[in-house]
Formats: sequence, C-alpha cells, structure tokens
Amino acid sequence: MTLTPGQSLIIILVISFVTLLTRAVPFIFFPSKRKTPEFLAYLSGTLPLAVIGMLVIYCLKGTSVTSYPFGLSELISIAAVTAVHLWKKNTLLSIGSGTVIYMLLVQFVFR
Amino acid sequence: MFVRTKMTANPFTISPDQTIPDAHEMMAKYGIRRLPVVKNGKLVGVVSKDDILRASPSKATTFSMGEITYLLSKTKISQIMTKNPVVITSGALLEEAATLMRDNDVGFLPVVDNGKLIGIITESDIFDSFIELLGFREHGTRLTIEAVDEPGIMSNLTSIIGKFGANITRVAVYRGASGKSAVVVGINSMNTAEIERSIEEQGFKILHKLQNEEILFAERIIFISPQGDRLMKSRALKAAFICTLPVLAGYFFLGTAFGILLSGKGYGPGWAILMSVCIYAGSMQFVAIDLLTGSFNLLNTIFVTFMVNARHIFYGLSMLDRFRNTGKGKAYMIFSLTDETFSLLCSAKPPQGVDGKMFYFFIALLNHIYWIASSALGGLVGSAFSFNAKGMDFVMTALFVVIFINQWKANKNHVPAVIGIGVSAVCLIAFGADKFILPSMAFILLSLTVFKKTIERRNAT
Repeated sequence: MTLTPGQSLIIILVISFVTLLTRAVPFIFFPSKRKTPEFLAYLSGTLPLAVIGMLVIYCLKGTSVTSYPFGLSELISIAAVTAVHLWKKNTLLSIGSGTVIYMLLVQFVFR
Repeated sequence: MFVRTKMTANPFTISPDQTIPDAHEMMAKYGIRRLPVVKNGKLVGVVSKDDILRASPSKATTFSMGEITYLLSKTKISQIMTKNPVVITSGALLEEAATLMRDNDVGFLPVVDNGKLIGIITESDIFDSFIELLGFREHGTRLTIEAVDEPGIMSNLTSIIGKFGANITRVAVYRGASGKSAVVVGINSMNTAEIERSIEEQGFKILHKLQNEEILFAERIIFISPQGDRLMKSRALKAAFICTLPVLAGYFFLGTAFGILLSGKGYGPGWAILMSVCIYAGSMQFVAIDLLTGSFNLLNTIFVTFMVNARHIFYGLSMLDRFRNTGKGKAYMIFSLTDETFSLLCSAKPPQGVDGKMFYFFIALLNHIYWIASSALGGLVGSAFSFNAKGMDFVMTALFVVIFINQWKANKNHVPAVIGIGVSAVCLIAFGADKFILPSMAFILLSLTVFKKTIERRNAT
C-alpha cells in the first residue's frame, strides 16, 4: 500500500460516486414522466452493440503491435476464446481457456 | 343486477350497406371489436372482427394488393354479418346475459327493447361485475375464509366481525366439495389483525387476505397472501438465477482475478468486498487498482473514472423506458447497471407467469452478489497463496469478446458492431491509449446518427 487507508477509502468513495453518476445521469435528465424521444429509442437499440465492440478495443489498448511480441499473445488468446465459444457455446469454458492460454503465453512464451 | 345498469348505452352502429373497409376503420378508430348492424333504427345483425377476417382472402392468396382492396371495398356488411343475432332485454339479469353468451358462444349481446337497439353488453361488462361483486378493487380488507358447511356458520362469522364494530361490505360463498366452503368477506377497515385472530380462534382457516389502501385498479392491488407472494418471489428468483448463470461464470473469473490482483498490492479481502459493494463496476475496479497504487490525486481519479464509465450513460439511456415503473427498486436498478447486468436486461425475457419487475430486480441483485462473493474469494486466495497472476486481467478481454460474439450471433444487422470496433480502433491509433475513449464515444454516436437510415432499413428486412 503506497496510500494511507484513509486516502484509499476516499479514492474508493470518489470512484463509487462518479460511477453512480454515470449510471444515473440519463434518469436525472429524462424524468420518468416524459416519453423517451424517438432518436434515443433508436440509440438504445444500436448503441449497446457498438459499445461492446468499443470495450473489446478498450481492453486491448495497452497492447503494442509495433514492438515484440507484436500483440501475438492477445491475438492468439482472442482467437482461442472465439474458437472455443463458437465450438462449445459455454461462456465459462471460453473465458477460462482463453485466460489460461494468455497467462501461459505472457509468463512463459513471450517473456 | 340488471343488464341495463352494466350495458353500454347508445353504442356505435353500422349500416348493412356500408363496406368492410368502413367497419374496419370504425373498429380501429374506436378500439372496438364488434358492431351491431342497424337499418332504420332496427337491429338486423352483428358484425365482428372475426367476420371481417373470415371474409378477407388468406395470406397465401394469389390476388395482388390492389385486387384485394378492390374486392373488400365492394363487399357489403350485409354479406358478411351474422343475421338474427342472440339479443337480450334491458330488464334481464346479468346472470341471464352471461348464460346466453356462454351457451351461444358469443362475446357480446345487443340489448333490444321493443325491437329497438338501446345498448350492448359484453364479456368485459360481466367480468367487471364479477370483480365488483367480490369486492376485489374496493377499499378495505377482504378475507377468504374456509368454513365447514353446517348451520349457523354464517351468523357465527358475522357476529365475530360485528363484535369488533367492523362493517361487512361484501359476502360471497364458493360451495366447495367435501363439505367445505370458501366464504369471501369484505370489511371496511384496514386494521383487521384482531378480527383475524378471533376468526382463527373459532376454528376457521383464513385462506387469503387482500388489502386495498384505496379504490384500486387491477395492476395496483397489493397482495398480502403470504404463500402467493413468496411463490411469486421464488419463481422470479429461479428464472433470474438461470438467466444469470453465464454472468456467474464471467464474474467468478473476473471477481476472483480482481481480488487476487488487489491483494497483491497489499489490500486484503475486506478492501475487495468494500470496493465490490460500493463501486460495482468490473473494468473500473481493475483500473482502481492502478489508482490505488499511484499517487493520491482526486482530480485524476474523477477524470479516469468518468472516462472508463462514460459508456454507462448509454446504458441508462437504453433503460429509461424499462425502469419507468420499477418503483422502490429503481434506485438499486440504476446503481447496479453494469455491462453484464445491462446485457442481460437487454436480452432476457421473463418466462410466462413471472413478474417482470421482480425478475429484472433479481437479475441485478444476483449479479451483484456473485461479484462481491467472487472478489472476496479472490482476496482470500490472494492473501493466502502467492503466485504469478500476470496476464490474469485477460478475463475482462475474454468476457467482452464472448459478449461480442453472442450479440453478433443474435443480431442480423452487424453495422453497429462494426462501427463500435472500427471507430474505436481508429481512435486508439489517432488519440493514444490514455485519451481515446471520449473521442471514440463521440464518433460512435456520430456514425450511428449518420447511418441511422441504413441501419433501420437493414433492421426492417
């Protein structure tokens, strides 16, 4: 611990508050009496699909493709997750096997 | 009660010379399903939505749309109506009306006095009077009491209630088999605890209790029947549990990984539990580990949290309608709107007979519990053993990849998904790892706006 327990607590509470704020903002701006505008209804149908794509990229943001190992660990592991998921359709298995493969790759293969 | 008190007087009517499109338009405009057919003030028949459907060509027809429209517009109501319908007089009893409808298998009866149509009475009117008769929507307390069928039972029951000064508003008896009956008693009071105790002391059994604070419509009735309420809850919980199994798997890995990583930085299971209870945002908690190991900088904390969690604003927007009537649980539903809960709320439908609000609430609650328990477990494991957890944060990547694949398969329209991946990747290269989330969100919104027509057209096909 580089921070004191008090500082850690403050950080955690601030994170909690800002997180809650991001979730509550739409409900503050669009109180329940008003009907959701048509454009927002369209967004609520399509945005989730796009945001998950964005999150995949977000997870890979620390990966460098220009220096060794050129993002190979991530590429191989994501391919494994995809293959296992399409094959077995079992979320637990897909996530588990992908993570184990990735840990083996970063700890032993591409050190 | 008589038909005249429950019927709809001066109903909409149609003439036998009008056409199918005319009837269709009237029904749609006034939200009705049946029309009496009247000529010169006299009832000559009735026409229902079913009659119109029967007269329309089947979907497998070889006629063109133009030909169908032409044919229908030429068909007169007199050709498709039911002639000589079963009718009733306004002075008849509702029970007679119900029996007539039941025996003739019709949903409504024209009310005719001296050959003149004066109103109609429908199934819904009969249902309404049934509900009214049993005091289901009335203010006060309604007890359903099991009683042995023998002389003096009713006077015994009523004297108990009378002793407490309560006024009986309704009485109905369902005669049951094996000498037992269910007596429905309406009481104009909300404080019936002593009456109930006294009734049970006299050897009666209370099967059901219903209390209405005010005159209520069906959807606002509060059920206090203990078995019923518990049954509803356990059904919703069971259905929600099955739905949340994939999240249980994902959270188990993610949460455990989080606990292990956190304990590696000197924060034990207590901290993991605190963070999972209060923050409850998977990816943010991983980022929080970085924040806790850096220097104490609140402004940076606020900014990073906002960047990482800004996508939640989208989730809230998507759930505005869904959470509209969730009542007491609404604040918790908003607080617990994680990526995974959101994706389940989008895709999971409550099974038949399960209350939607309870179902969604339990999904949110169960996911939260999984998350807290898994991170506590991770914290314990991480403090007890030391091992190399490098690369374990890949669980988060794997989880989103799996969600992405599931959504890809569930939707025929891949444009939004491609926009999400493509725009974010370009922004990552253009703005760098630390600053790309906000531009990505802006450009995703922009792209979805620009391609709205294309996407909607693809959705329609």
